[in-house]
Amino acid sequence: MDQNQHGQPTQEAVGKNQYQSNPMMAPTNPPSETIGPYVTSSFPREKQHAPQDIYQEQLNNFWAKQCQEIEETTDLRTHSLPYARIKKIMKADRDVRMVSAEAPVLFAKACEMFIMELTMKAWANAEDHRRRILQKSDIASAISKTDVFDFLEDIVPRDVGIPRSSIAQNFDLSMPPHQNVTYPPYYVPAMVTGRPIPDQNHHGP
Amino acid sequence: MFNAPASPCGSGRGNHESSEHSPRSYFREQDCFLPIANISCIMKKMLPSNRKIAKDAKETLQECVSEFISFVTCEVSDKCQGEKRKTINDDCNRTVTVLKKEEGAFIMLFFHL
Repeated sequence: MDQNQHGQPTQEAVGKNQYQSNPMMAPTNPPSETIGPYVTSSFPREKQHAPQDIYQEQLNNFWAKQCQEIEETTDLRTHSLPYARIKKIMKADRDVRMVSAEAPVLFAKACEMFIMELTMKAWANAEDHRRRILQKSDIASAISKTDVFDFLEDIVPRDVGIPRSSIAQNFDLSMPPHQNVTYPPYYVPAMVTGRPIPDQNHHGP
Repeated sequence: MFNAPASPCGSGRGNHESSEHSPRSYFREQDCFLPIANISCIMKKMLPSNRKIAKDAKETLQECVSEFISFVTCEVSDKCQGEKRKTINDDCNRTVTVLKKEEGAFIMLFFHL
């Protein structure tokens, strides 16, 4: 109070600082204001929020269980994916020269977890659309929703409207397009993502 | 692209890795995909009982897994080359985090080089 009475410039500056400190205290008040619109806006989102929480909890449980299972694994001979095939895929990269014996084992486990997580996310998408059969579009949606799966964008086109087709269809002997011609020239264009073939439409709703 | 698909009867033995010039060789060889039966079995573990999976969904995931293996292998290979590791002499366990932890999704591979 005495300082205020003096009215000197330096003390006035101090007074300004004290005045500026008040706005810093002000941010504590707005939380009540932010709660307001949040409550009102959460009305349409409330329904969507609950399943997401359940889904996230399931995902966390899945990963915790998998990590525990990995730690408990001692027998490397029990596997669900062939090691030789994995190694061959790894060696497809010409920069890769030597692959240790343990790498395909770890890759097998990583691939298994990858498949399970992607399937879980895809199934969540199928349930959102009230469908009982897991479709390719579900996997595409799961990939587009997860940043970690950016490297798969080339595999699955984002446009779900593309008619269903299989890039690896030439490996299925039961549906060659030229059944009447013996040894037809059949080349798979690498960059073409899909071609509509009636034989592929087995998916009944 | 002028690449004929490998004959399934030949079991891929006739294809030499040195002759692979296609950057996307997994379009040509069946060996570049993991067996779809194994993938389907793993997928069904995560679904409720008696839920069906469309065939194109299995095939799509089949391609995704191959791409996953190639992606991780490429990342780890770049890391090894960056550190100038001697693959024969260096003998140590190390953890390589190839995917960022996001939404609880991460994969750690323990490489024994």
